[in-house]
Amino acid sequence: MWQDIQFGWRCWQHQRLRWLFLVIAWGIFSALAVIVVQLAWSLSDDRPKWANNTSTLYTVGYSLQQQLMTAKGIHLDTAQSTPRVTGYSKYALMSQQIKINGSEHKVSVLFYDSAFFDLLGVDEQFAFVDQGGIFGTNYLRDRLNLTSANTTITLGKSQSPITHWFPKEFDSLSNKFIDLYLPLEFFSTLNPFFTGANATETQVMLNSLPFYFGLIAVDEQFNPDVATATMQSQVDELGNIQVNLNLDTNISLVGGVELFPQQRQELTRQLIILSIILIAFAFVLFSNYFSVMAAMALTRKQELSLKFALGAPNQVQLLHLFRENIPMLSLVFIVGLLSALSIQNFLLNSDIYQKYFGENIPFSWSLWAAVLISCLLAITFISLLPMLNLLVNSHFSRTKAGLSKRQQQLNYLQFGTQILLTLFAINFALASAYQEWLNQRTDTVDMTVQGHKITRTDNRAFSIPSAWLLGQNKQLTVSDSPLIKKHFPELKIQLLGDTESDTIFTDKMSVANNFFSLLNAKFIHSGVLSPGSVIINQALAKNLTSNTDLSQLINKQFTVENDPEQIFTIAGIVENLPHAGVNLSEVPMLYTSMQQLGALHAEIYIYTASSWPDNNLLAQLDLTNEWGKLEQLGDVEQQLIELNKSRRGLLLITLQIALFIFVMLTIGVLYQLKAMLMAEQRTLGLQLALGQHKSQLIIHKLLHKLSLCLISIVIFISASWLCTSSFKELIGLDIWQIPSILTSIVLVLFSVVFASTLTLKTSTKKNIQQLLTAAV
Amino acid sequence: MSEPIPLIQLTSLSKTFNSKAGQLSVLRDIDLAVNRGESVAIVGKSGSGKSTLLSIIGLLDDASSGAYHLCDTEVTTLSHYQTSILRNQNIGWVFQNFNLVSSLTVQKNVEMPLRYNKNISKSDYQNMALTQLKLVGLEDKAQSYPDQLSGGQQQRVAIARALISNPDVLLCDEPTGNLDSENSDQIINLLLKLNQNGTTLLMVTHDMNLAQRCRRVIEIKDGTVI
Repeated sequence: MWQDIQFGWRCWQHQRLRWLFLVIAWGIFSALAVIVVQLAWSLSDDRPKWANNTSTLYTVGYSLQQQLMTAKGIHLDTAQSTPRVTGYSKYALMSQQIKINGSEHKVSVLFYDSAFFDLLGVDEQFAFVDQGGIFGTNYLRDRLNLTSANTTITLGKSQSPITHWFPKEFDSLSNKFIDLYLPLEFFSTLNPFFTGANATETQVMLNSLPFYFGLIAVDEQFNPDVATATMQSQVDELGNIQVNLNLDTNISLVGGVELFPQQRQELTRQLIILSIILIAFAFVLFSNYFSVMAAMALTRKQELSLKFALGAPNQVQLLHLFRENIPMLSLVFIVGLLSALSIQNFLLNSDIYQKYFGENIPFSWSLWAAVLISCLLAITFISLLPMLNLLVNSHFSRTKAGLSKRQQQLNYLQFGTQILLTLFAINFALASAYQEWLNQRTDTVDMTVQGHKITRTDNRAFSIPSAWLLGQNKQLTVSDSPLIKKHFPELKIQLLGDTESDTIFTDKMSVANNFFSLLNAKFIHSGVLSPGSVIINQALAKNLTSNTDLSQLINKQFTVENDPEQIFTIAGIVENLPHAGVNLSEVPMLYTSMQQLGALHAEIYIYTASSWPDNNLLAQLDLTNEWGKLEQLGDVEQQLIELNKSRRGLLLITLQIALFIFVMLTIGVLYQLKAMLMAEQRTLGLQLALGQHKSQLIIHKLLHKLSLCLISIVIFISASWLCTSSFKELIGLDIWQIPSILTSIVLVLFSVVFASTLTLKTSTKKNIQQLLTAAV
Repeated sequence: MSEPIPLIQLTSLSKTFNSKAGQLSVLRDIDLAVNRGESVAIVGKSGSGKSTLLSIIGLLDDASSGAYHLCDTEVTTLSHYQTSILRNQNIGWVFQNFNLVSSLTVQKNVEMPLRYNKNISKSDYQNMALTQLKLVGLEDKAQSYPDQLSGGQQQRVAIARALISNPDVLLCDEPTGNLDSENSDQIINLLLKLNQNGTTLLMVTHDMNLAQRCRRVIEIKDGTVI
């Protein structure tokens, strides 16, 4: 055995770089496979581990894009009237600062109704849940180092003890950790939005219809599509009656128990994309590796046939070949293990992971080991496959033959598919890079302002000095939402007196009067902000009129859908502010005066022209450190970098994978050609012997390979053109960009020409006599 | 006194190949017997089927019909594993192009058949290999590599490899085909000397001089023995 291992090691010593690359590629592939399978497995959990109810459950949620602050919501009692619903429970979720034993902590809270635990099914030992109460989790206890006895939380003005502590198995519900379980009636206590003397009737009414999710149990004949349509129509009907509530929602019904159903859908979508990329990567890697092993097998055809002649049974030869692979397999296992550990560590701590997959996803070490071992088995199988093929066909009469026609066709198909997948992968990466480059090239933000965010921790209003709202303080300005953020135009407006214009969607910010001057914003048509008048941006102006002369919009009036009695006048038009970077800010925006907002209860954003002492800000806002929190957002450039970090991070990963695939393609083509040529070596030798010129031979073979590439390129171009809209819809990427498509084609052709020329030139240097010599 | 049982006995042996043009009959009703200690030369024109015949005798290929007895064993009924054992322990091969493994030393090349013989322990490999190399006069080349040897030397290494398992028959496929006349003579002399020592010799050759030095010459024409 040791001799076999030594022999294998010696063989690989001659081609260290090639094997090193393959070992690393296999190791990284194994690592990625582990990660993807782990994530898919964790997403497949459709209910908490402690839930004993095995009936089919659905979670009813909204597609509201976390716009809790705008209070777009309606409780889902309508779900109860849906046919075939056998059980129903409401719950709400909140994450905020709560005082525990007198200290402020940020906790995640699930507000449960009386049916919640019944619906999910708990053991008799947890019968106390039926009586209601405040339940703490083991996760909270560990996190805050709490003792079980006498832990109190402050809810509103009163303190309540945690009545029971859940065991460790209650720590995870879907992919979120819940710290506290509170009865549903506490939700409005902790949800102070839009209350108080200055709240409008709309806001008060919205407060009575807080934000809930529904959990429903259904029987076997339940039709989710019918149920979704029923609930949507009921919500729409209510929306038509109560227009001022702005009840535009899209109901979604997600299988299982999922605290944020939309997130699960989004996660699933991301995982599908990742899986497709991994499969493509796997195919290219497998093909390359197979080509390398096939070339090696052909090199050793003579040796294998000789051993057959010397009396080695196939089983013994296979065993020896397996042993020769042990050094390589060991390296792959080690690299795979180390790669998997470091990639997992990197991913778990990365912004992308946090954003897309949440903070905590349970990992299974046994699943991890199973995937890693499966990859190892796959490598072993592919290593031995070409050898096995040769062993089976190693009778002397057959070894003299070259590739059969069927094998040749399979080779061509493998080659063509490899080219096609590589084209897609490289184009995907280059299109992303090109799009990002276009954004960044003109993404220079000429704003030298510092951002600050101040958050209330109780339900009292911010007291903002009127001088700030009027813009009398030249050094700072105020807004009710951050300057740098992604916007979602959900507010409907309609111009008055213009029956032909459509309802336009826009987003909204309330700002102080000096907002634009402090930010050096450029006006297309200057205007002054005041109660009742608004400034709109260029993107909104273009949506409101098709006329190139936007000045005709000045002094035009419009209404907002959820408040038809209030009329606003367009006072000015400003160039698009770079809310998410210059090239990503084509979002319609309207800016209203903060003067008419009255008090703010959640958070405000302050932008200063130069660094402003924190305590100065807090003092002027009549806040103390006890119940107000200041967060530095940094300058605008920094905020943009933070905002787009995940996008750039994802792009970097995509580019790296594409580069890897490109290099693998080159190596794979090289060895695939080598294998093809070795099979044709007698024919090649004969052609040379009959007087064909070396360069003629090279050109002929090259043209043959390029013709195969051409077929793949045509398929690639057609498929890219057909799939453009799907990709745009799925991931917001335009893959039909001429520079990236052309570059992909050029790179792949270069790879094929380079590999082909190198292989052909090396082969034709051999002695004709050697080429004509038959194999054993 | 009964006649000795032939070492190799072919009875109505035939071999056909399937091709696009239909069935191609390479060997037809071959009857052949080779006794122990004989030296037999198989001659014939190119395409007559002599290499195919040798392949079947050497258990590298299967006959389409007929019977083949080797060492009084009917080989057509044996399993793949059993024929491997026969090939390893009862047959020695010498090829036209030597077929040495270039990445192994001369000694390791000679040891190769022993690796597939469970009856021989690893500790005996070296001694047995050196013994065979001494027999062919190359014991000083044990640690050399094949590409460091001349053609004649390589063929002698191949002969040493073929003999290491003490086979009943030595099968040679054009053993001097790739050698000059001086080396050819050396190899022929070596093979005939081995035959004189009791090794059965069966060789395919175009060289009529070599053929005539064997005890028996069999000519094959159009797939049959003349």
